[in-house]
Amino acid sequence: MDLRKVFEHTTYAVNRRLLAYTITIIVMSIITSLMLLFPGYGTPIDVWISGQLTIVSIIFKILIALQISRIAREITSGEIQLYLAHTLTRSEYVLSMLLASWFTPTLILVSSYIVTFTIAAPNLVISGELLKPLIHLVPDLLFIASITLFFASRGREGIATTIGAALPILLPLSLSIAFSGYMNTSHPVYTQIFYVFTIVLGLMTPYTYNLLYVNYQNISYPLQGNLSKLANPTLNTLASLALSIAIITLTFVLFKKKDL
Amino acid sequence: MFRALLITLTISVLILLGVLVYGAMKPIVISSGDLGQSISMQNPGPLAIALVNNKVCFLYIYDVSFSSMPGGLQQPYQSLSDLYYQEIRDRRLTFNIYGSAVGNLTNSSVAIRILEVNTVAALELQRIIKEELDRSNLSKYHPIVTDEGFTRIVGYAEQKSLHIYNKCNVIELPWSRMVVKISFPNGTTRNFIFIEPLFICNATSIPQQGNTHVVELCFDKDLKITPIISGNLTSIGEVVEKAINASHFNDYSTLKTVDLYLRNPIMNIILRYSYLLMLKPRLEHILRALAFLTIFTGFTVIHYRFRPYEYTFIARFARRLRQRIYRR
Repeated sequence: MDLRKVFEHTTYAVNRRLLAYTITIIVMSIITSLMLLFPGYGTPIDVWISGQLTIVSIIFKILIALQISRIAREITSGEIQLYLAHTLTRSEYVLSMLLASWFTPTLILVSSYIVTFTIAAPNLVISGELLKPLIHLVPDLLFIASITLFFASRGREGIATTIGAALPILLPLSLSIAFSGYMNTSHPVYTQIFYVFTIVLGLMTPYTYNLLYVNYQNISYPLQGNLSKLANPTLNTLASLALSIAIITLTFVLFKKKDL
Repeated sequence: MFRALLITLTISVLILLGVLVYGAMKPIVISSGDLGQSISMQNPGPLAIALVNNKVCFLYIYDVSFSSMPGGLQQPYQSLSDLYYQEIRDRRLTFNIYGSAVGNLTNSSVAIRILEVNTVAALELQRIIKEELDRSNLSKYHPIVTDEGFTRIVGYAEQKSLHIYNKCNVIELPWSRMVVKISFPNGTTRNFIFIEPLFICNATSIPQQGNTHVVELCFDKDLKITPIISGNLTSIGEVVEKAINASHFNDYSTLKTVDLYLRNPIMNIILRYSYLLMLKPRLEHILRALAFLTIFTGFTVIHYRFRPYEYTFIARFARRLRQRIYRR
């Protein structure tokens, strides 16, 4: 694999997507700047960051999904043949698209966030308080990217776009319901069902899982004991990362064999 | 990739800088209020009563806590960022005391002082009061102390006071004038005009650490007062003397009557807490944003030097703009 070629194609793909990234960062910056205005009386810092980051992460997940789904369009339109004819191998192509559509937006989000908070509250950045939610957010973005990439590389633009646009909203919502159900139900059968849903959905959105876990940890609950049976957020994030890497590997393998 | 990163970061910092500059020019009022709280229901009776020279003095202690209010007892707002510092303007606690008396009440016949002390001093004051009550042993039922004891208590409060407020006015409200027909046992009736002026004393303070207000209320010994519920006109000095004697002789009937008189000099206390909470960015944040903007612009220029072909869109945009201007 020629990394220089990968870098050049990534740069080319990113430059084609620059307008989308610019608009997203403007929206994100406005949200961040305005949310910094509002004082969160009594709200713990990690919860306050999470609220802001949740909105921004949904926007970025949709952006990532839409950008990755463009691979499917390049496959169906035959544009991909131009890249693969002389310059890139299939692996290089998929890797560069992943870098352009997942890595770059993630890098933009993380660096912009760190810069904004270095201006706003440097102590928070130095203490690492700000970095905690980002540790869970990056694998979360990767999971959406991997799922969308899987379908996009199969040439299924419709499925990739639909799933990519719906999952960022549906996953946190479903996980919140499952988590709440698990924490509020004492019936053994329902508890078991909600437990399975929480674990499965938690793997798909580690950031939301961590957010809910921390929230339920902070409040006193009659069924607080249930929380200890769930996986630790860090462990869940690592499992989610492994799952995403497995999906991406499968995508690479299948894409190599795909008849274009 | 680097171009996208540099451009987006520059935009991000630029937007933040814009919001900061706007905030610096126009501070944002995020919250303001005028919160009133009446503590008449919990209005505790006097902690000490004494005959001091020609006056009857009452001593009250009110612990004012506004823990839930911005800038109140709570710790300074723990913001996620120190980007906007909180500035509380016009923050004040107005402590109004409303009292009642009957008869020819003038500014000279009633004197009120409010002494603001900290919590530690208030606790010590309560200990001194207890000590003086034990030492005086004037009444088993009312907190009556000797004049020396009272002077000691007030002296301590004065010594520890952060502020002393003397601003008291005697106000006669229209509705406080009452005509009451009283029948006498011999069958005659007479109309009595009860003038019930209110005295209002207020203190305006800044509730920084929680204010404990020590209220010293003194009436002329000969001033006639009446309880709100019912009762005859009696001079306040006489009431105190009766309370002492009744306690010694276990005269419960008299005690019951004087109790009403001694509880009522202060009708109500109304606290008003007003504030204006403003947010303003600090200069250091604007400078920090400017520094980041300079760094990212610098890096963009360096990147342009190395890969000028990635920035053709700027030349294209400038050309289009030039053409448009030229056409006009």
